[in-house]
Amino acid sequence: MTHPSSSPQARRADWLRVLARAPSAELARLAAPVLGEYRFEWLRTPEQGLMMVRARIGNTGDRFNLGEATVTRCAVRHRAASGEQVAGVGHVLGLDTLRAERVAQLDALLQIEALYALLWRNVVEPLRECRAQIDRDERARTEASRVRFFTLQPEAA
Amino acid sequence: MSAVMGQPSVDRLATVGRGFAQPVHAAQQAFRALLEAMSRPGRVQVLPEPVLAGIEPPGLARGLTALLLTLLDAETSLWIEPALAGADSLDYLRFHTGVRTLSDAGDAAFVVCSADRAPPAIWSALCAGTDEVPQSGATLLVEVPALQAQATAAASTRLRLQGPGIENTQALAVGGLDSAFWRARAALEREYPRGIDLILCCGDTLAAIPRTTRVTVEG
Repeated sequence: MTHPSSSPQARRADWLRVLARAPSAELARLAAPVLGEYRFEWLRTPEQGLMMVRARIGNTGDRFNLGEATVTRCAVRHRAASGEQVAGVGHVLGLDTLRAERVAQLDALLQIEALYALLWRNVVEPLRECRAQIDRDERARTEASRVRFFTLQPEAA
Repeated sequence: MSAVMGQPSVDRLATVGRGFAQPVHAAQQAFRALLEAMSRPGRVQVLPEPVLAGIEPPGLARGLTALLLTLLDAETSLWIEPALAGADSLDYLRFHTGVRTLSDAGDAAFVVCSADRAPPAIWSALCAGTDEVPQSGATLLVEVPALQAQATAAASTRLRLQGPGIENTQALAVGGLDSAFWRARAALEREYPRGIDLILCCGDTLAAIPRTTRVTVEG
C-alpha cells in the first residue's frame, strides 16, 4: 500500500506490481474505457522470452536457479496534451502480449499528473482489491488442509 | 534486485527514440545488405528505405544506426567515439539492443568513429584477434562524408581493392580518410588471419573492406 508521501519511484513500483499481478480479464475490463482515448507509439514491440527465476532455500540459504519462466515485455510512448512525453513499460509473466501492452500503456498514463488520481481510483485500486480477493480465497481454500505438526507430535508420543 | 544493467534509467526512457518499425524484417534486410557488402568488398550497397523508416537515432546517422541495430545484441560489446555519440545515443543503443558499451576501444567487438577522428593509430589500438581465435578481431564502422565507386569529390581518396570476392580489381573512392590511414590498414594485411574488418557508412549507403581485402591507394 502506498500513501501520497512516498517517492515517485516507490509509487510507480507499486502500481506496476499491481498491474503485473492483475488477472488478465479484469485488467482488460477496467483498462478498456480509459485506454481507448489515448494514442501510443511503440518503443519496443512485445517480446516474449525466458527469465531465470532464482530463489533461496528458506529465504536465507544459497541462491539457486529455480527454473525458467516465460516473460513478455514491451515499452510504449505517449505524448500528453501538455506536450509532456512519457514512456511506459510492461513486464508480465506468461505469453500474453495484450496484457503486457495494457500494463505499459497504463504505466505511461499513470505518470501524467493530471490522470494519475483518476486512474488510481478507477483502475489500480480495483485491481489491487481483485488480486487481494483472489489471494484471500486461495488462502481460505488451502487453510482447510493445513496440518499442524506441533500438535501432532504430542499425540504420537 | 538491482536495475537491469545497460538499461537507461526510467526517467530517460521517455526521450529514447524509436528503433526499427518492423524489427525482424528490417534487421534481416539490413543484414542482407551488409552480407552483400562484405562478400563483394568495395561495392557500394544501399540500405532499402523500409529498413530506415521510422527509426529515430539521436545524434547518429540513420544508415549507421540501422547497421548498429542489426549487428548489436546483449552478447556484443561496443565502443563509440565520445565526440560522435552522447549519452542519449548510448541509451538508445543499449535500450534497443542490450549491447554492453565499453570505455576502452581495445576491448570492444564493434568500434564506431567518424572519418575525421579515425587516426591511423586506430588500427593498432583495436583488438585484431589471435591466431587461435582470429574471429574475435574487432569490426570498425566509420561514418565517412563521401563513398562512391568513382571519385567525384576532390577530397576523396581513390582506392584499388583486390582479394576474395573481387574478380579483378574494385575501385572505391572514400572521403575523409587520408592515405596514412589506408597505409596503416595495408600494414595490417601481413597479420592475416588476424585483422580488423572495416565497414564504411555514408548516409544510407555502405561498403565493406574485410580483412581479406588488399588495399592500394591510387591518390
